[in-house]
Amino acid sequence: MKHKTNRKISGKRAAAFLVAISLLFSLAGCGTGEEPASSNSSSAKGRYVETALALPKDSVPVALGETGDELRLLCDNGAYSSTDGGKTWEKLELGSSNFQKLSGEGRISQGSWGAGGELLFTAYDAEDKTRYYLLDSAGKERELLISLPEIDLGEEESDPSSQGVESTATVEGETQGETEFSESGFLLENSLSEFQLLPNGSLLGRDQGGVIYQIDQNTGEILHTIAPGPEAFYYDDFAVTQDTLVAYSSMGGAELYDLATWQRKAPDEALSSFLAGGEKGVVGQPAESDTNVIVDSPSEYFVSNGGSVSLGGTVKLFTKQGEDALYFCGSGGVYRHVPGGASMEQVINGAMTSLADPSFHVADMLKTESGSFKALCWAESENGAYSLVSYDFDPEISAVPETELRAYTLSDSAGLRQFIAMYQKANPDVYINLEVALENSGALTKSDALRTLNANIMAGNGPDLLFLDGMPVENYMEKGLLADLTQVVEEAKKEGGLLENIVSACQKDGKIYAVPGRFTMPVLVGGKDQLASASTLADLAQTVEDLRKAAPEQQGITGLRPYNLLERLFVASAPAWQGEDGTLNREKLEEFFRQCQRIYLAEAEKKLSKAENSEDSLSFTVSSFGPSLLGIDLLSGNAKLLLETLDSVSGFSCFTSVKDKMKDISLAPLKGQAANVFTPTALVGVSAKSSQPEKAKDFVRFLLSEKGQQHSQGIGLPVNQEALKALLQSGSMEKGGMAVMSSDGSYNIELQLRSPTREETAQLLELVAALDIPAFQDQTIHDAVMEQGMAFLVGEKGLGEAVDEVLSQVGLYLSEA
Amino acid sequence: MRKGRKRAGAAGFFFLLPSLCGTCFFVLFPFLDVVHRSFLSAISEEWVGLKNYAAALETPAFQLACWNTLRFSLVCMPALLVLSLFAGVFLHRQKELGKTLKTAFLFPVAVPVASMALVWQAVFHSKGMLNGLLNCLGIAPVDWMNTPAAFWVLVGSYLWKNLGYDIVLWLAGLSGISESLYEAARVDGAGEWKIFWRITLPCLRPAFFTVFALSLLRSFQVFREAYLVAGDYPHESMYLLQHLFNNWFRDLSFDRMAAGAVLLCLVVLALLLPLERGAEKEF
Repeated sequence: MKHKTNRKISGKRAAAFLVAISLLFSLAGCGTGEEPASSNSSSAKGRYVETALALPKDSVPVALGETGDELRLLCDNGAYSSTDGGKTWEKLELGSSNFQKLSGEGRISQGSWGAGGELLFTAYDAEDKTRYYLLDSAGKERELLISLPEIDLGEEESDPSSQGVESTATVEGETQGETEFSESGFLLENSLSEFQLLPNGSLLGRDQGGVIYQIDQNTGEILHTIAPGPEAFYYDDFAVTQDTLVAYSSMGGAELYDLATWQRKAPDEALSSFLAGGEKGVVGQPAESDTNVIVDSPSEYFVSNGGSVSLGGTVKLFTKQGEDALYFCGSGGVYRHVPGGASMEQVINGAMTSLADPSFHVADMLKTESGSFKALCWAESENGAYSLVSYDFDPEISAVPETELRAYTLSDSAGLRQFIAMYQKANPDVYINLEVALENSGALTKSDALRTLNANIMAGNGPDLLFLDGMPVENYMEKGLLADLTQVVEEAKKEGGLLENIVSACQKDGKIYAVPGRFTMPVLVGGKDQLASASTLADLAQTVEDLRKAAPEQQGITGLRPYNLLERLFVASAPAWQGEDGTLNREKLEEFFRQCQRIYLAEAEKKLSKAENSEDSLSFTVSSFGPSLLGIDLLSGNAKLLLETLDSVSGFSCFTSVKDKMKDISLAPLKGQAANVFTPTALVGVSAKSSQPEKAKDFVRFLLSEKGQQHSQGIGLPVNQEALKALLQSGSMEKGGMAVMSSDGSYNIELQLRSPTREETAQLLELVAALDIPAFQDQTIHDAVMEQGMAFLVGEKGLGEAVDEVLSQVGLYLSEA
Repeated sequence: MRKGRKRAGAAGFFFLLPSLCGTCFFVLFPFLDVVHRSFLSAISEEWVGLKNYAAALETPAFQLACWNTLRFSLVCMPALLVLSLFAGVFLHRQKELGKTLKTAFLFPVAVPVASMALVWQAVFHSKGMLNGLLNCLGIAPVDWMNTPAAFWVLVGSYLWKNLGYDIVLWLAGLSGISESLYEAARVDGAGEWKIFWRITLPCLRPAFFTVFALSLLRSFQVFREAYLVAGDYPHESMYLLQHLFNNWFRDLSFDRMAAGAVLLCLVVLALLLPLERGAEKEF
């Protein structure tokens, strides 16, 4: 009995001991679950590598195809063939005399190659009408008479994004038909903007209204019409697998149609799920999708990039004959999907190619018999020039580049993406893994994101590169988080062209800790006399009051609403508020509110009736063409003096174009309580805790170089004056123009954009050279001033009360330092 | 016999080991690291001596946060201890009703902080339910979260949330008092009030330390509600030390944060150690 009891006790003790040990191990096993990213020691081999191929000289490529083992290329000036995978091209002597005539005149605009070498192409006739021609494999040509329904872009049926605005703009890469105004809106000559020859002898085409047609190749008769429903609204692209037509819409995803019955098929769940993720900008993030995403690289690598992959915008669909699979190409890369299958396979990772560059667009793509991919592309950064790119699988190369630099940004931007893509293109052995802290979900606040970043930095798991927009740069400099970049800037200076006053914005004790990749400047646009008189904030208020007195019936003087007024003047005034002790100067803040009120009252003197107020449509029009097209409000007569932000090359080009029509206007830096203010953007710094500081500095070196500065995306002007000059005088602006008509018919502006002259460019550079006060926007101060400033302007609070509130709200924040 | 004691001691040690390891890994060693960091600069980790302590003490926000935290504790602790004690004694004397009420008092402990923050916003917003009610009664509305009233909202929230927890702790202490003591006192003609002062309170002295220490530590958790409702910068009357530490962490001021944390710890220890000794004394 006793023996039994002892055994029982021993058993209990043993069990307790085991529990204790297991508890101990479970504690030891606690952790974040994430391995710190380091340079890639992955042994996985093989990935698609991007190579640029030559294009036939002096030609604009139109369509790419493959016939047998030959690559075929249709250009505006003829057809070409390549037997070495696109390295060299030979002109094809096609028998048709009409084709030779049209190609000789460079009038070929669209095309599509059939698998057997037949070619369908379009050309403009003498009346600029689209004509369709079919060349069979023997070179025999005949015209196809296709009668498409007209597109009436009346107000009721037009794209909601263009309602209330009648405008035309020439966009690179698109063919614009002739425009005629009708009673309900305006009619476009409808034509096929994309087509594909099917093996069964029929033709599929998509018209300018996004409708897909099956057309008889012999008669030109429309056999079937696939019109997008309200969800899809517009089919952006289509592709054909063995028995299915896949119609893709950026709004509605992919819709499938049976090629035998032309009836809509049940949705492909995996594809729909994948594309739904794409709309949210998180394509390929397994955690958010039921779709099983297969990648050609380690999962850790892919997941870490899942949030930054997007298929939106320039999605291209294509198929390969004999392979029942569908390919999607977007900025995230190339994905393969077998209809009905449960997975999306990432074949090419866009992050390691030019596909990630937001200025890079794929016009046509195919998979060759050898398994490589060829893409016909054009890049905004190259002034819209076309290029041919090959993606070939290299089984020997490591699946991910040997060196990985970790970069961190609070918010994503096309500008950053382009910097990164350009650097990676120039340095294929380096992969920059960009972590975007604040995705669109809004689940994380900026403070939380910064705390997470700090925790990672202190744990030795921080980024190498920090994109500092929206982050406390001055604080980071003070705390020693940022590495000294003085040497890098000095080297860049030696190469010449650097705007030293701009790149030296983040200096402390004579050392530079961060450099801006771009900058913007607040400007005043108006009559020369007015610009000369507005030398302080009080003078500016006086000028606005004088303008109001001179034009009491004028709709607007600055054309700004209270919030925008405060916002514009905040940038030009806030740098003057903070004293050396770090506190806000009460008198200056009061003065700011007082002068803003003077401007606001002068502005609000002429109350606009709803019918008179055409600002809505005008604002919309301007924003639909770009972030800041300087001067349009002056031209429309909606304003007399503009408080603007010069934040793009196109903005300055617009100003010079407006100036052609209004001879006496000029542009000067906006002088608020501070003068010569600029805002550094795309700020980049290198973490002092980086394990690869030299590689990270190499990125900064590239960013400051003339080559690195010649990018077209994002907001801001280049910090390298040679790049700025090159962009201003690139001539790309001359391809653009606009027409703006108010809804009440009070004005009708037609503006042909032009590049600034050398003299105008020199004047701008002179203004830029005088900028010496960087405005780092402190979000806490900004938010408090905007909130209380609005309450004061609209009369909800008195001056003293509003200023007290600002000082109270900001006081705590400033007293923590 | 001696061998048996030794074996029992070893078994006890093994039982304690997991908890001890957890405390060491998650509390003691990290705290030692904090103490170490309080003498170093934040990023470069250079030795700076007492500079961080001086910088923390000179920071106006630290002074304000210390005062607010002290004021909060001075108001909340006595109120909570007295209210929960009386409620505990009352519930201890009830039978069935006591069980029901105990559950009701414990309910706020189970309410998630995020839900509570939502209720706060709905109730105390300048256009919220409370002001709606005041409006109906003809009383001028109060901007509860942006005026000194915010402090009292925080106090009320703390008392509501922690009352039930403290009642349970007092009840545990009350159940340990022998019923025979009460019976003897009653036989001797002592009244209820006298019994409470002479028997209940002295017998609860060991429990007092536990209740006080836990309540004090839980008072630091009230920051969660304040943060969820008002963010990094609430009205200055409810700006507590945790707000400052949270913001210092965001601003990479780890050095001053470490110094502030060590100072806070010293103050808490200075409060708790004498109380613990007092509680251990025989009465």
